[in-house]
Amino acid sequence: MDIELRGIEVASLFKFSHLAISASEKVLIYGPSGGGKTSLLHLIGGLWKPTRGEVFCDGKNLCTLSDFELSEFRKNRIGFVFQKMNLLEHMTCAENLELVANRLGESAETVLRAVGLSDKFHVKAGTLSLGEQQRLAVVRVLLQNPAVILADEPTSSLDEANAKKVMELLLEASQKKTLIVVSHDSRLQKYFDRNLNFAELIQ
Amino acid sequence: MSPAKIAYLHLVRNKFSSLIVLVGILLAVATSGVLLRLYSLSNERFMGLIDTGDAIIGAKSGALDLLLGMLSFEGDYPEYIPMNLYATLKDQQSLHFEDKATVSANFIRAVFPFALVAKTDEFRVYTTSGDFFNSKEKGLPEFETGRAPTASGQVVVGSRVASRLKLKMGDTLPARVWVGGEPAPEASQTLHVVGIFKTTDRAWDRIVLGGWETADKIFNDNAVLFRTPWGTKVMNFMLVYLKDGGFGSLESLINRRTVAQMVSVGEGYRKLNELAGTGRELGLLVAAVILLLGFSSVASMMMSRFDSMNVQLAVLRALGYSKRDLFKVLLYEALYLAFLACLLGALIDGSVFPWLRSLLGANLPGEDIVPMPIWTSWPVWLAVIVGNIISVLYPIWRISKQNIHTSLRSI
Repeated sequence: MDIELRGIEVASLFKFSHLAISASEKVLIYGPSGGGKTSLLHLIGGLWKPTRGEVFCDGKNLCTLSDFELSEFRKNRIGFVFQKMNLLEHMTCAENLELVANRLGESAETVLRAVGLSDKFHVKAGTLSLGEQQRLAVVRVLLQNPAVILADEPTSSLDEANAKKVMELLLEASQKKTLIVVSHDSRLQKYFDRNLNFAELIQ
Repeated sequence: MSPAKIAYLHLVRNKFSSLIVLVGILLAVATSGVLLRLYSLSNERFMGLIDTGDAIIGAKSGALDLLLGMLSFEGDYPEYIPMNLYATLKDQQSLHFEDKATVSANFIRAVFPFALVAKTDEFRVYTTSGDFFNSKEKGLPEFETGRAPTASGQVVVGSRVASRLKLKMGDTLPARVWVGGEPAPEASQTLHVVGIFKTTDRAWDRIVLGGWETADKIFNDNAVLFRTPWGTKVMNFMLVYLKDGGFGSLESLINRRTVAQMVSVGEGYRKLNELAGTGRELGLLVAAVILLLGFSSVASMMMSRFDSMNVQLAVLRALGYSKRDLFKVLLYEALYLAFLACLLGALIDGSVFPWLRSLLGANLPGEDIVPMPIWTSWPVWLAVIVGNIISVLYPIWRISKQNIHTSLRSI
């Protein structure tokens, strides 16, 4: 899915004139914490609207969509992976996956097995480690099969090994899809087609 | 995943807080249900009282017993009064007393004797004089079908008796003789239905009424049981209709110079209402307050749950759930709680009410007079369901104003 942001201004937080990300592109937006990277991600995902400017996804202006249309857009086209609280902790892993896929077929079990969570199918998500939670969140995105995956600091709470696992999963999940990751972790730059310094973008 | 399942999982996975709220609401349902049924019971008794006649005459056993005995056909077996008192009043004879006083009973417009003689199923069998069935006095039952009894064993039944026992003209029904104390354990009389009264929504609907021939036969057959100075020439009550200004004269005659007691129907009604009215209204008020407490408990739970679910709801929104889906989640939670609380509360209500009713004894009409089944608590259930829905309006309003971006930023 092609993404284009024009003449963006978000209150006193940041402004920039143009950002375009083409379909299937893998983009890392990096920069220090607190700069507005998450806000940018939320703008692209239709979770927030800019004070000024327009956000286009495949030519559709998200700023003009109703709440219901935005919900449908997110449900069908966008997959989110957050830094924390990706999952509903009182639900089991299977139930968290059911939030995006009404019927869990064999594919869910196959993917869970591949990420080392096959024995956690009926375990409450709140009891998983942070690494397991992040992997489960990526599995959920895989099952959702969106056109764009937006990940907000997906590796920030993880150790090196878990961060690597999650990134590999994300890249696998985003084959032929657009992947936008915001992070302050410069180790991730090697995984992406384009690395965008957020500070330079908003100058 | 459907909003219904999300709501269900949220409730069952937060067992402790859900249980506390559930117990609060179900206790409110049970308590309010019991209070409402007590109120309805009390109300039904007064709404069902026979609304006719100017005065009731019976044994000197207390005005309340007299009123409930004659106007609601309930209570213990009433004591006897002599039948010749009826003859005196009916014939408007002059009475001469030892102190040389003379009273002329010319203030009577109509008078009907009543005697309780048997019980069939849960209904009481009374007997009265033949002219009762043809009387045009206001408030007396009219025939739906059939005629007045003319021989012993013939009866006219009230509409509730007919529908409850599925009676039609010509049917027979067994009756247990009742001439003091408790009814006989075995049915020894066979009554023949010769008439059915129209529905009155009063105590007449549950009467089985025979002619005086039936009373004579049953009394004479059981004469050995009568230990009164008047033998079997007795009755239990008289329903009296007076000419203008006749009340004082009748009161003076009956209360001062006979073994009987007279009670004014109008005054009795007023006193009964005064006696029970405040209590009934207070009971209804308490029921309403308890329900209100139940609602505020749900409302408070919904608000605190919303606060704790703020981020979860934002995650759901990010996953594509619309505001409408989240409204449904909250509504389903409220409805699950309401229905479960109604079900469990009704079970408690159904168990406690009969016990409470038996505990209160004669203060309430018996099961045979006003049945008051569990479903009469339905206004409480409806109020709980509506109240629970209302209690989620505030969280729903908060969701409609929720900024997903801000909520997710708070992670």
